[in-house]
Amino acid sequence: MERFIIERRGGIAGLKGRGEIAADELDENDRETLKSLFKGGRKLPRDEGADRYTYTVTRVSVSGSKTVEIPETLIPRALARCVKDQL
Amino acid sequence: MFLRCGCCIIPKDVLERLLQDPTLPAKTRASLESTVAQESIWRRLRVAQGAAIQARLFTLESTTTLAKVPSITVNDCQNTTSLPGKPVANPGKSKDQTAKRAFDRTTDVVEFYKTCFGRNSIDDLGMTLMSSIHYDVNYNNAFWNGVHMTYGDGDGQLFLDFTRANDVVAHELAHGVTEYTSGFVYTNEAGGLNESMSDVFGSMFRQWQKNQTFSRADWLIGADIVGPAAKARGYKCLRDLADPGAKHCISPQPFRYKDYIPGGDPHDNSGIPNHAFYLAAKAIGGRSWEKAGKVWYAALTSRKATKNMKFKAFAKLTRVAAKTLFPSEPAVYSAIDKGWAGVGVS
Ligand SMILES: [Zn+2]
Repeated sequence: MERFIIERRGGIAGLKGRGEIAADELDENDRETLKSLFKGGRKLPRDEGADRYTYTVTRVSVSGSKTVEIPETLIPRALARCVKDQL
Repeated sequence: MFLRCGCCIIPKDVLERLLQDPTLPAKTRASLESTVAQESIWRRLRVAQGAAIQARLFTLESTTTLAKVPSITVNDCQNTTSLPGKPVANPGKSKDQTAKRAFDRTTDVVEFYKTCFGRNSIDDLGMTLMSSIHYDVNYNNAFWNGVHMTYGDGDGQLFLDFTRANDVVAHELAHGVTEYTSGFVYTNEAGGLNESMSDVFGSMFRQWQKNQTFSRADWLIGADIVGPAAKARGYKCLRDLADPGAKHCISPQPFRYKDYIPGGDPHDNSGIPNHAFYLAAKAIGGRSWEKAGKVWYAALTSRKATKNMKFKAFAKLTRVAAKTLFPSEPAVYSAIDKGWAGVGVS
C-alpha cells in the first residue's frame, strides 16, 4: 500500500514537524497532484519570501521509495494538515 | 487544492508546467489557468522595483517617493489560505483585536524605522504595508511572502495568535527591509544573516517600544506567542539572543561559528550573528538601537552588502560602519569587534 511520510521544516519558529498519510486517505485531486509533483527530475523552486514551510515528502510503495521537497504553496492541504509539531 | 496558488507565489514556469500536465484533473488545471491569468501586474512591478533597488540600478534619490507616510492595510483570510484575503475597513478601530493589533503594531514599526533610522517603510519610498490575518486554521506560523506579511491564529496550545508578539510583527517587516536592501538570499550564511536581521530588528523594536536599556531588555523572540502547552513544558520563547542554546527556547540555536550547520535552516544559523549583536550591544551598554542598531542598519543597507554575503564580510561592514558613524567613540568599534570575536567570527 502506498503511503506518504512528511517532514516539515522552516516557519518563524523553526519548529520541525512530522506526519504520515496513506494514499487511499487522499482524494483523487490530491493523489494526481502528488503524482505530478513526484514526476520529473527538476527540483521545485522554494517559495518566495521568508519563514515559509518546506516539506520533504517521501512516497513509500512496494516498488520502493522516492523523496521530493515541496514548498508550502504546492503541498496538498491534506498532507500539510497531518503534520504535527515536534516539540 | 491548487486554489492555494491564487496567492501568485508559485513561479510562472512551474504553474505552466503543471498546467500542461495531462495527468492533472481538468478541475485543477482550470484553477491553475485562472491563477496564471490573474497574476497581477502590480506584483510584477514591485518585484522588478525591488530587484532594481538591490542591483542599485537607480538610487533612492532619483526614485519618486510613493508616500511620506506609508498606508497600512489589513486583510482577513477568514481562516482560509486564500491570500491576501478580504480588506478590513478601518483596521485601527476594528473590534477584531487581531486586525487592530496588526494595524497598530505595523504603525509602530513604521515609526521605529522612521525615528531610529530615517527609513520610510520597507522600501524607503513609503510602500504600502499589507498584513493578512487569520490565515488558515490553527496556523502556527507567520511569514513574509515577498509582498506582504501573513499571520496565523496559532493553535492556542503551542502558540497564540502571532500578532500578539510585537517582535514577531517587526521580524516579518524586517524581512521586507532585507529584501529591499542587501537582498540576502535564504540559504547558507546569507540565509542566517537574513533571519538574524529579522530577529535583531525585532528584538530592538520590542526594546524601543518599552524604552529599555540593554540590561532591562529580555532579548527574547516570540515570548508573547508561547501558548500554555509550551509554557507547561518550560518553554519561554522561540529564540533568545542572549542565550541562543538555552533549554527555554523552542528553537535552540548554535551561537559559535565553529558550530555553524552547513546547509542548515536559516533559523538555526541565525543564532551566530544574533549573539554577536547581543554581545556588541552589551559591550556598548545603554539603548541597543542608538549605537549597535545604527551600526547594524548601516551595514544592512550598505551598497557593499551583497545577497550571498558571509558572516565575516558582514562583520567587516559593521566594523567599517562603527568607525564611520562613531569616529570619536572608539569604544563602539571595540564593542562591535568584541561581539563578532565572541562568536568566533574574526
Ligand atoms: Zn524570519
